[in-house]
Amino acid sequence: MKIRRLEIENYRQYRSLTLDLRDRSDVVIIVGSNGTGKTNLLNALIWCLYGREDYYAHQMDSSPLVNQKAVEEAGEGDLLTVSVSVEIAFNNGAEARILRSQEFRKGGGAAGPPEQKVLLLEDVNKGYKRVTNADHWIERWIPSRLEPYCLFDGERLDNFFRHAEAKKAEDAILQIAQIDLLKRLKEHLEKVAGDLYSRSAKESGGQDRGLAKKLDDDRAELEGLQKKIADEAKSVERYEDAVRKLDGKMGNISEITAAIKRRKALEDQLEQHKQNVSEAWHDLLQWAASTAPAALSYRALEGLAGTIARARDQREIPPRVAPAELVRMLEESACICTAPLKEGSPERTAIEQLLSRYERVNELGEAFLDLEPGLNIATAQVRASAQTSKALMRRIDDWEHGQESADEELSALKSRLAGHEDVEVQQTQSALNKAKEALETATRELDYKKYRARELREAMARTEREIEKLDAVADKAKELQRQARFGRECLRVAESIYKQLTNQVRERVAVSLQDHFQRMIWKHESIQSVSIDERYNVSVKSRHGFEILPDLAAGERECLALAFSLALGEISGYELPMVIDTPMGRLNPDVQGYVAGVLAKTTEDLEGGHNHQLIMLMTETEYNPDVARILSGRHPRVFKIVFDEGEAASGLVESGALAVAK
Amino acid sequence: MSGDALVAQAIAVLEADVAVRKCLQTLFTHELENADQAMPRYAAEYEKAIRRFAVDWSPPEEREAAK
Repeated sequence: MKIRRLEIENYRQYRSLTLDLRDRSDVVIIVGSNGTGKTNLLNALIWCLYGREDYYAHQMDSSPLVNQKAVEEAGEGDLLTVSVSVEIAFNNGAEARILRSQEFRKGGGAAGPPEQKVLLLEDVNKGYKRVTNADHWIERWIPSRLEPYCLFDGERLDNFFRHAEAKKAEDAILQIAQIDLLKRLKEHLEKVAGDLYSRSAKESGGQDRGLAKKLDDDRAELEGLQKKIADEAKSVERYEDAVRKLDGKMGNISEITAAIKRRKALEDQLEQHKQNVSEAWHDLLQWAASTAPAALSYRALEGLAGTIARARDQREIPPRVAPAELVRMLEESACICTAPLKEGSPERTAIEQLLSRYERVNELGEAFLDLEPGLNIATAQVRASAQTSKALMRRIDDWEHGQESADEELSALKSRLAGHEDVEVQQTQSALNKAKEALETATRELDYKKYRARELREAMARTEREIEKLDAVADKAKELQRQARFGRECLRVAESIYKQLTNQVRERVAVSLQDHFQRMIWKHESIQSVSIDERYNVSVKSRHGFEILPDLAAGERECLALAFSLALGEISGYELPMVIDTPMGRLNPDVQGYVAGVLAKTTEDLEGGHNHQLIMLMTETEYNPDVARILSGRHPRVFKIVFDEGEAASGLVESGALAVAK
Repeated sequence: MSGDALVAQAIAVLEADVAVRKCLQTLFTHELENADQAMPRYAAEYEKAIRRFAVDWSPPEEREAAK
């Protein structure tokens, strides 16, 4: 089923609006700033179908539906008509128009009750034909019990799996499959059968034996108890809600407490970093002081070592010379030419000087060669100490980087923690404890009352059996007794269907939920299963078997709620259009695109070759270029709500898919 | 299959006495018609259905005796 056209006259901020979706309507996006009337488009649709507005703002609570500008322009006592009309097309090609209108008189409020018409297009040439019993038709086409799962606010998606979802899941599943009506049938049957027993006892000897009175008393007590149980259940729900809210707050507070702890840890870490940096600088300075002389002469030492090595390699350093001839000449005091070398003679002195120079040259050569290993060690040490300096510098860099990160995180934490006081934490904790105590007491009371109700039922069953055994039974009593027994038999069978259906439907929803959810999320491989247990607790297990529902990110949780809505839609057997107001308003911008993709995907691939219709009412922030780009693949119709201040009314302008995105 | 059809079918395929099945069908239809009411009137309608279908129903001991 698809919405083909929406016409609004004089409804809230809409003087006159037509949304024509006859041409291409699978994905429709209506973009508007806050206050321009997005939510009231959804309200108008719901009002047209069911005669109520579900998503009005508080200030609208008592204000009339009629457009204020229209009221201003009307004369005193004039009649103004508010009307909303929705045209729908069914998958079998049939079309229908639903029109709701209400008249208001200026100065006098509503001039009459709302009137609702349902017009069915049986033949295009003959036009629409009005059908009687409009409510019946609408309930048949778009049952009101499905409304929360097809026409809703994005907040619903965001909130659905945030807290204690079991009750909500149970209500939704039972309601969607109309098993809640079967439950009501059981309750009614139980009362009627009990009453029949009691009347049969009054007609028979049971009256004398006090059986009828006992049965009446027990039933009265049971009815009283059931009322108390209902009240107590409401109290439990209220306390649960309070505990949930406080838990949520405590969750934030736990985050804050964790943040405070983290702040302390960061402060310690920062202090440690500072100390480390200072120690590293100290080490560096010490290194510098100890190695500076060596480092300063490093080039010279390295040059000298190089020179020696080169000289050695090129044999420039002469080998040790042993001038034996010269020594012999001195010892024999005679030259090789046999001329005497007298003491003090110039020749002898010359030879002595020559020998001495030879010795010096030898000494120098040896000294050079001795120097080389030392020089090599010294240069190696200087090189190694350079590595030490680099390592020290790296250490300093690392500590300084760590210090910077810690500083950044700390300042972010400080701004986040600003305004949160310990007192608030304590007060919330104390309120939570009180609420938990109250919840415990109320739950205990409820359990006791349920136990007592069970006891009473058993007692009544015993009394009923006694009545059945009465020998002298009048015909009328006998007939009543037979009816009562028949009623009990119907109840027994109804209980068995109820049990069987609840399990069956719950399991079907769970399978469908898992299927939709796993197709929606990008890390579906990390999800092992999504299930709903007998107490309607929804569980999402990781592939390691851990429960991860509480750890799902906001976007994933929203996908889970959407998957749940789709699963319920499947169970309901209806293919209704989905209209969502601000579907991603509560999500971080980085996941909006992802969720937009998921939403767009939900409109695809339905059995029978037709698509779901998805109408999204989005703020300008939601419809950002990323989201627009992702949705453009589904060729959406994009409209912008324009508010005319002079007219104090909103209107729609169709635009290109990407043109509206900012 | 829609929700009401789901319950209706479950009742229809019940392996139970015909009278019980018919009675439950009547009572469920009544609940469907009054689904939008928070506190529907039911006593007269239920008694009427029970009276109507109990005629065709026999308690187990009578069925046993008839065998």
